[in-house]
Order: sequence, then C-alpha cells, then structure tokens
Amino acid sequence: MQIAKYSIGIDLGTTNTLLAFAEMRVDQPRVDVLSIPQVVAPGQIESLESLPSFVYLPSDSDISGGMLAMPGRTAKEPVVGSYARQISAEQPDRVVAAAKSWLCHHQVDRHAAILPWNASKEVAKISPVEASRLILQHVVAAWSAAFPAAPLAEQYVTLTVPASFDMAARELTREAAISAGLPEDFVLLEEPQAAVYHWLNRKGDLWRRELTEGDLLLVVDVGGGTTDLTLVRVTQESGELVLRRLAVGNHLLVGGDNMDLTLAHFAATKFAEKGTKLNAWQAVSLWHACRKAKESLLSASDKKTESISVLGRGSKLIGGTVTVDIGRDEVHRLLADGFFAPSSLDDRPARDAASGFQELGLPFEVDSAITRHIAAFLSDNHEPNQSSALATHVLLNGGVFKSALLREKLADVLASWHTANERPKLLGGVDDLDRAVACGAAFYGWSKHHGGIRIRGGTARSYYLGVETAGLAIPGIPRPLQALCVVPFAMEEGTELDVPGREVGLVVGRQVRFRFFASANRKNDKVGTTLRDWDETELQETAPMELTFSAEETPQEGYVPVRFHSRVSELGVFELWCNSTKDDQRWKLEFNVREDS
Amino acid sequence: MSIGLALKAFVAVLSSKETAQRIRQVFQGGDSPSGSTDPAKSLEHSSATTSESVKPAVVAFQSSRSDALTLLSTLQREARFLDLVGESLDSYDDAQVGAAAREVIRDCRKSLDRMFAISSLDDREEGTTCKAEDTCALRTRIIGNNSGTNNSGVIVHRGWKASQCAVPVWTGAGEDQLVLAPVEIEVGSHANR
Repeated sequence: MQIAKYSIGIDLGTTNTLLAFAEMRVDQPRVDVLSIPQVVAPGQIESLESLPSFVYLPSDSDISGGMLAMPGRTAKEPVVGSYARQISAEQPDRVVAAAKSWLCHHQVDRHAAILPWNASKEVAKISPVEASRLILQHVVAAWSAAFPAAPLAEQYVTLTVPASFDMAARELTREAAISAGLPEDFVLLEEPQAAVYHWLNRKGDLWRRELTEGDLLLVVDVGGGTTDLTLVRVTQESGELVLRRLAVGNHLLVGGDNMDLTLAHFAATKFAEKGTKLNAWQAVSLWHACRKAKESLLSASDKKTESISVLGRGSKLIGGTVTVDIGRDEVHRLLADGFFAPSSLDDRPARDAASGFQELGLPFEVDSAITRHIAAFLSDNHEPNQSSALATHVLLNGGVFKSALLREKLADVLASWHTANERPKLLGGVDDLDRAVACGAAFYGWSKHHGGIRIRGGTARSYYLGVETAGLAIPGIPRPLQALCVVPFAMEEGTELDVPGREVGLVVGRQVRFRFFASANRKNDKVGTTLRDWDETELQETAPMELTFSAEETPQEGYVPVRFHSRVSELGVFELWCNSTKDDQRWKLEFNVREDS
Repeated sequence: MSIGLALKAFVAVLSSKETAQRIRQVFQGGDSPSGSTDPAKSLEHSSATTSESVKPAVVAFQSSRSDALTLLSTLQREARFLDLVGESLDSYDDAQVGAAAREVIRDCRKSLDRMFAISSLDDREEGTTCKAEDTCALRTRIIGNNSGTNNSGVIVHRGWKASQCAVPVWTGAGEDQLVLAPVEIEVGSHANR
C-alpha cells in the first residue's frame, strides 16, 4: 500500500470540531490545525480554527435569499459552524446542537429525523447520524479546498470518539464518517488517548523521565457537554515502558456548558435582587456574558468583585446596559465547589431516585460534581493486585481547565485522597487544551507509521448477547434471559475469538434479534461466560443486534445451529458472526440502532 | 474607493516584498490576495522541519466589497462597536459608560486579535534606552530634535503590528455592500413583551 502523504486527526466534538494534520514522511512531525471556512453571518465567510458542531436548517427565506451559501455549498444545504451556533439561542427550532450526545443515546432511533429535539412540525428535521455527517462533510470540504492535490480519502485519517462510546455509537460514527468522505480504513481513537498522544508528542523522548513503571495516569477530559475519564497504567515489557489503557468511564453528560449556565442562573438572581427583570433576549445575552466572564472570574486576581453586564438592545447600548457585581468568592463556591466538590474516595454520584418518570431527551447527569464521578470511577477500577486505586499522575484536557483555579481545585480534591506527602502530578500545560485531541490524533497516525509508542488497551468494555433460556413457556412471563459474554474486556484490536458454549438455533426466514449489553466493570468474565442474573448498574443495555436471512439460504430444517464468533479489526471495528456448525456458512449480526418496537 | 486602494497598494508594495508579490499575483490573475493565505498556525517549535508542501493552498474566496466595511460589520456583530461609538455620551455618567464600554472593548480586542493577530512592533519595554537609528519612517518615528552625535533615545511607544489580515469574506452583491448591520425585527410569540 502506498503511504499516505498526511496523517489527519479529526476531533468531532460535542460543541467544536477541529482538524489537525501532520506530514507523514518526515522524521519530526509538525502538527498544524486547519482553518475551516464557515459562514459567520449572512453574506460573510471566515476561516476559523474550529468549526462549532452546530447545524442550522435554513428556512425558505434563507434559501431564496441565498446569503448562507458558500463556495461549494448551495443555500439549500444546512449551514454548519459559527453562524449556526450564534443563532442557536434565537432559533432553537432550527439548530441541531450536541448531535454527538444523541449518537450514543440508545433509547432513540439514531437514524430517524428527530433533531432538533422538540422542534415544530414545519422544520424538516434530521437524524443524529445525518447531523454528524454534515459536520464531517464540512470539514472534509475545507480540507479539499486547502489541499486539492491530496484528497482526504487517500490520507491516513484518525477520528476521535469519546472513550465512553459503546460499540453501537462507534459504528454510527463510522457510518456518518464514511458517508461524509472519510476513507473506508480510517481509525477511531478514544479522545482521552488522543490527549495522551498529544502530551507524548510535546514531551518527545522525555516522557520516559516523567512516567515510570507502575504509575497510574488518570485522564480527565471535560468538554463542552461531556466528561470522559480514562485510566492508563505504565508497565514494563522487555525493558521498554508500555502504556496500557485500563479502563474508561461511563458517558457523563456534564461539562463546561453546565458551568456557564450555572453562572448565568446565579447572575440572573442577582439581577432579580436588584429589581432588574431580564427578558428572553437579555437572558441569552447574559449566558454569553457569563461564558466570557467565566475565565476572568476563575483566574487568580486580587479583585474581590467582577461586574457582569448585559448590553442594551438596539442602538441604545449604553443607556440600556444593566450590570451586577459578582463576588469572586461566590463564583468560586458556585463553580469550583459545585463541579469539583471536595469529596472522599467513597463518595458516589447522586442518582435521581425521586422521579420515576423522565422526559425522553438527553440523559443529563443528576450529580454535577465531577469529583464524585472520578471517585466512583477510580474505586470501580481498583485492580485487585494493586494496593491503591489512586492515580499517580493526572492529565487534564478541555477548555474548562484554562482556569488555573479549577485545575488546582481538582488537584486538591485528588490529593486529599492520598496520604499526606503524596500528591498526583499534573502533566501537561494549558496551551493546547482546545486542540490537544485533534493534534494528538494527527500525531497518533504519524507515530503509528513511524513505529512510535502506542497505548494498548483493546476493548474498553466487555459485551454480552442476551440469549433466552430454553424451557417450557409460561404464558405472560418472558423466558429468563441469560447474558453470554461474546467480547471479554480488553480484547485486543486485530484478534478474533470463537465463543464457546452451547449451540444456538437461528430460526430461518425470520428476523433474528438479540438484546445486547455492555459492562465497564465486569473485567474478569471470559468469552463464553454466561450470566444468569446481574445488577442493572453492572450491565447496560445498548442497541440490539439483528440478522435477517435471505430466502435462498433457507435450509429444510427451518433452523440453523450456530456458534458465535467475534472479531475486533485492527481499526477497532467490532463484528459478531454466527457460524453454522453444519457447514461453512456464516452470517453477520448488525446493530439495530432504531427504537425498540 | 479605488484611488484609496491604489494608493494603499502602492505604499504596501514599496514597503513589503511579500505584498508586492501578492499584488503581482492579482494582476497576473493568480490566487486571491486575501489574508487567509496561510491559515494554519503552527503548534510546534520553530525548530521543527517545515516543508513547503505542508502549507494549505489559498482558498480562493474573494470579497466583493472593501474589507474596511466588513471589518466594521464584524466589530458591530461581535462587539457592538458601532452601537457604542454611535451613541451620545451626554446623558450618562462615567460608571454607566464604563459598564458598557468594558464589554465592548473586551469583545473588540478579541475580534481584532483573531483577525489581525496584533502584537507590539518592538519587543523592548517602553522606557528602554536605544539607538535612534535612521530607519523607515513607517516603522520608527523619531520624536524631538536629534542634536549632535549622540543619537540615543528612549522608547516611548512600542508600536503595533498585525501578523495577518484575515477579515471575513463578503459574499453579497450590489447595493448591499454598504450595509454594516441588518435591521432586526422580532416576530412571533416573543414580539409582544
């Protein structure tokens, strides 16, 4: 195979998307971020380093006006980027936001046109997969315009996904990416790992001085809408240091946007105390003002208070401006203590037990304290042969950590779990918090080609097929379900396994459907292990797997005895096959990401 | 407008080889001289190997109006610059003006930094004693009378420079080119507040 000219890393974020690239055939990789031309206002296009992951569905008048078109994109097509984000508050009915969080939400049909969620009927909605495709397509077009001689489909492309994405969400991301023009053999890389690769690139060979055998590295990646946790163990194999990804956290829907909103609510009550009533437009402005003020409020300064202003509307800017003073210590209490609450290692995130009814929508976290989620994550992944579950090193990622105060706050809580004279060491700086993932992904592609260090890990979860037990049917009572482990934890990329155990008869001519489960903490189950009962917190149901026989395959008996065979490709693609035990026939099970009927 | 532009181009060609090259390209029908020629910003140290092929091609968008108008329109959109300077200050006290100005100035700074990557022309601190050498008047302005042989002076202003010029590209046409900000009309349920 011909070597690609460039290694490209794409960070498809919940709120921002970036593309970084490095030339493949050089000894010292130089990673650059591509500027992405996008509509910033009707009739105005600007090249910006990041593409906000927002999709605006144009109205009829937008289309006839033609002012949202771009070279290479007609006015009819949805508008991706800065302008879409800008008007998301004014026109929530026409803007798709956080499509990525919907991709891993297994209670909805991710191929169905459901976004913007709750939008009115006049809007032609799109699916989470389509929204992701549109965002990626925009990035691909930007690349093609900048590098017409090096088509993206011929480059080595790495796309990042949250470590917490399950197999089905990864498969959907792959589908969106390939239809957007990524090469068939692109690689999916977990975001926290990409952040580690970026750190490795910045350190060069010196990283071996910072990490030694036995160290445990915790990666905390707080994005706009999500928080992603990963543990990496440093081990030694034949004299070489090896990085092994031990565990990844669950998908946590809490992030920087929650902090902005919290601050905005707090400021709004301050306005109310002063007797200033904010209208809807001012409330949106306040949110933006808080986003901007957050950084200065959370930086170290001697100033006791900081003012937050909402500018007057119309051309009466000065006259209409309203201001409140917010105390620095109040904000610290609110954000630092709210999101990085002092807690003990035994604390667990609060679960919502009060309400049995929840509106379908994104399952936002009930407990916003990231520290409690970290405590649970570390305790759940305590390796039996290790004396401590605690991390020796911490790598922070995400724009939230530009604030030195939040970095210190989190470091303090983590340190409080250690004995007095120990303290986890913070790795990395604050320079590239927004682009580390994209740059790390581009470096990963280069590094893979040049035989550099790789983080090993295999699958982040173990996976189970739900198999109904045989036995007499009792009316009204479903047959007991057993969970058959088909992918053990940490199954390496590029390996395949026969699933031992009894044969399963597939009824031909009908659709075959298996419920499918994932577990982040059952690490000792082997392939073929059968669970008879389990705790709901242990096994999480994801999209079911299905198979439909074509007619010519129908054997006379009416059913085919099969055994399962699982495979994880070099690229991290998971496949589950049903191999006939009678002949060489085999069929592949596919995820069904549509709603349960 | 065209005479002004011609004059600007003339001065620019004389002062900068790079500008001259770009303008030559325009006359030869080459790529757009827009500031977005080298959008990729390096993350690596300057010692890293750079090869010419890494540079992205010029994305050939061309504004059909003066960048000056688009700059004003951008500052209004992102920082409400025109609203601030357009309002009479007579009826407000300093605190009220200050509260509004603080926001606008901060946002203007952010927009200007992004589009022009502005930094000091001279790295040395103000107050530093230096030689007042006879250089290009565009780069150095000598203040006061240089008497005798001692041509030392003190830096009283470090100057400013832009590292790029990346104003948005305007894709409108005709009469609309003079529009700096659209009229805003609220409709629907929000209107009767």
